[in-house]
Amino acid sequence: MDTFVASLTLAALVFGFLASGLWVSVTLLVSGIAMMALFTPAPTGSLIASTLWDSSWGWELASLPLFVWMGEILFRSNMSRDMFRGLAPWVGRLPGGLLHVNVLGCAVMAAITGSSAVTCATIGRLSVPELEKRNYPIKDTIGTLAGSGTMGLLIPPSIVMIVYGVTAEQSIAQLFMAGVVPGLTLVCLYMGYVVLRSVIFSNDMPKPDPASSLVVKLKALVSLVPSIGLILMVIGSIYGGVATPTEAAAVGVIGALALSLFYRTLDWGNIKSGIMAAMQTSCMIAMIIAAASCLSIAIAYINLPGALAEWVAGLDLSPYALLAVLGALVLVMGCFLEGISIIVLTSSVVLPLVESAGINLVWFGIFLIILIEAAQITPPVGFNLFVLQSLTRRNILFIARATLPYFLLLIVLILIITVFPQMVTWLPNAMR
Amino acid sequence: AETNWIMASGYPESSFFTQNIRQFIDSVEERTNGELKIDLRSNGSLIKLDSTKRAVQSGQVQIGEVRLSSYGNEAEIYNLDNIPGVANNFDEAWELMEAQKPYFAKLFGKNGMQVLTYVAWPGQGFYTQNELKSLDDVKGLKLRIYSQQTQRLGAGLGAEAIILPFAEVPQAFATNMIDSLWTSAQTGTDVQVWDFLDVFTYTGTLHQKNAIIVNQRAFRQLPEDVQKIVLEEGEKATKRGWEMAQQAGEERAQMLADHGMKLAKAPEDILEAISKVGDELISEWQQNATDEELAVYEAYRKSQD
Amino acid sequence: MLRHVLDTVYKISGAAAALAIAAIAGSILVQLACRFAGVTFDATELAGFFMATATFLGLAHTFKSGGHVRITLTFDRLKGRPRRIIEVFNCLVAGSAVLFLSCYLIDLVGMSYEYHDISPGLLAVPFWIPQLMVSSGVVIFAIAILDELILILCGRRPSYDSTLSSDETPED
Ligand code: NA
Ligand code: NA
Repeated sequence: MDTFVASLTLAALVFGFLASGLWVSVTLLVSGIAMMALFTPAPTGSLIASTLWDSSWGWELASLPLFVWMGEILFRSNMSRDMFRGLAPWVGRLPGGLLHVNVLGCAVMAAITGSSAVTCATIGRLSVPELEKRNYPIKDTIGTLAGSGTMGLLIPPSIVMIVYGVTAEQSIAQLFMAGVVPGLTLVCLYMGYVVLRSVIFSNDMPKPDPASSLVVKLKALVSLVPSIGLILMVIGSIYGGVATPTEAAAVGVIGALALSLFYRTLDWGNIKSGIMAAMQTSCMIAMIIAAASCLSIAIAYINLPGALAEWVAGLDLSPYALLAVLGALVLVMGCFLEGISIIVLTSSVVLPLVESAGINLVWFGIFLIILIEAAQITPPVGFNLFVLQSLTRRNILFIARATLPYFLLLIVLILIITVFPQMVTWLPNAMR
Repeated sequence: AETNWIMASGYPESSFFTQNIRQFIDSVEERTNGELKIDLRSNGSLIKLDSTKRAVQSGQVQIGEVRLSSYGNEAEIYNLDNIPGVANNFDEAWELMEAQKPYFAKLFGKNGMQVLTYVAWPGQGFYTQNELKSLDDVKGLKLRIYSQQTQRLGAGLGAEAIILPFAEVPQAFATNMIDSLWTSAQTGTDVQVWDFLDVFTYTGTLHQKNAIIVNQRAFRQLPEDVQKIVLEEGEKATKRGWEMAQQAGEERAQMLADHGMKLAKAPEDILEAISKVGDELISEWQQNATDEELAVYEAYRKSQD
Repeated sequence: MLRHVLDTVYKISGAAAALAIAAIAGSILVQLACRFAGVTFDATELAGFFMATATFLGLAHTFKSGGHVRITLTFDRLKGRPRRIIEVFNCLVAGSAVLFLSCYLIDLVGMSYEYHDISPGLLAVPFWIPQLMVSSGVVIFAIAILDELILILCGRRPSYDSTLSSDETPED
């Protein structure tokens, strides 16, 4: 009963304040304070303050402002213009054209960072203005970015995967491997959808460029050199074992500054406006993260996720029904909680349940991570949606609607790996 | 009247630390006929591990489990747990605990807290790709370290010490940034170290301690008979905890073996090198320690003779 | 006069937040460079502290320029008085929550100072220093929200609203 009342109050608080236009971070903060004061005996003020502090100085967080800053510097240099100019003759005639850059760009960025918001923000900063200039429908730009940004969690490096691996006592190396095929499948699903959409609604899309000769194509490659160089430098620093993913963000900033110098755009005005813009974006996202953890602590204290998981455990379901119910549960929790909290707060009930149902825990990890990816793009609390709102200045419902097909494709991916579990387990088993 | 306490701890339910706490809570509740109930929030789900001391001290929670060695920057006494070679096995670690107890009681008491229970960590060792036959094999290893003391140890043994937060360890292995760890069998199994490495060379070397601490104000508000039960169960948890630690150490080592890792004894010259680093660190420690802290160390040394 | 002082405070804290971001990059690069030189330098804590500083000192500046996202759906359709009432409500709720938070954050600083809480890593920084940055940021944020509240009550258009509108394309 208490759980029911608490859940309703939570939903009413979050939806009510968001609907009245209260800032997202403040909404989460106020809801956290209210939930804790209403439903727990804890000293609310001091717990909220110390939680806010504890969750705001994490080492993993530090890559957020750096990658955002990198994006801002690159945006102010002419690198993104050159990059799109270089890619246009190559993909311009493919249905969907440069929209594929969003999908592939996010996949590459996902191999650099473990955060979905960072993936989305960095690629989006570069591609949104370019795609707008070329008259791509903003809906598709937003959708591809929001959807592909979530790959930050599925493609290693991935903190969420590590947290799951340690919690479930599963091999992290195997989880990394297990994410590869579903990740590539997701890229194909997204690109396939973009192609399909642009064939069916070809009127919405910009007119395809005239076919360009090989000479033009090869010449265009030259303008790709700076961007490819930067990508190689950052990826190389991680996979060459020189830098951790967080350190790679700093390498990226240095690279971006060097490129900016190369493009002769490194003047005081650009430096100042670039870092101020990065500060604002990172401040907005980081404050939402910190406020979300205050709400998480309150929810954890009331033990809502645990109670819900216990309820599922009591249903005594068949494996497929169990997965369906758990999936729905994670999606609902994903509307309010961020991914790592979902794993930590439900694991003690859910993992034994899943294991006794005979479900492979590595497979379940990927299942869970794809669901958490989906949670990044479900309102009201969906980090990628907030990032895109701040990038495009569109309202969040517009963004959520534009993102819906990509959310559904994630669900399709869930169905595919449920029907063909080998897609997940094959590679880790082969590498053993 | 019934009292409800909230307890914060930093390790998952599967950890022997948490299991020990669960037994402590059950016994207290049973023996007090439900007069004192403790609601445990494990795995850092309420308070992060390193913040637990502050949370207990300020009364955010009434009781919590802390890792004493986390506070080495606050007072030198905490660092004794952290210095290689001071206590090389469970027996020595127990003696060290006995020597530290009165001082800790005073230190925590001064800050409005009381220690109920001490539990040791299983000892540490090297995780490497190849067997360590001699000190030469340690030279040039890319060793992950996590503290001042482990950094000195790594450097003293000629390894390349690379500092990394725990969350980045698996990635660092995958990209060959590091190729060895120096940590407990527990942490080794946590990151499923057998995916990357083949040999565990146990050195013992240091047994850090966790402690269950309670806010003094909250404690004094309990009826006296309940206070007595809490203290007694705390003592019992200490004894039980040490047994569980030994058992957990063996189980974890067995787990490593089951996953195909070779368990090896450390060669003499490595142990000597470790104790040499330990000697250096302890003489530095003696320079920084207060007289009272020095007295603790002397008392421990005497108990060793 | 007061107007000028307040705007300067927001600007300075915003600039300090931006500097903190540069400092994150700096400390991480030093860590990288030291690793190559075979010296151990741990940027974990330092980068984390600069991160917290950047986030919280940046709050007011970001707020004033409309950088904090919100869902403007419902009141985009509203004009005039009803809209003002909702804006006043939002500023009141946000203002009191942030004020509440800043009291307890100041408390936290005092506690860390009194308890001699020190960061556990290689650098051993007293926690009250970065926490002081964080609580100053939150205090300035609270002031900025109350500042807006008064402006709206005086009949002005909120400054955070100047750029944010639902269906126009930004001029970038
Ligand atoms: Na990633
Ligand atoms: Na969501």
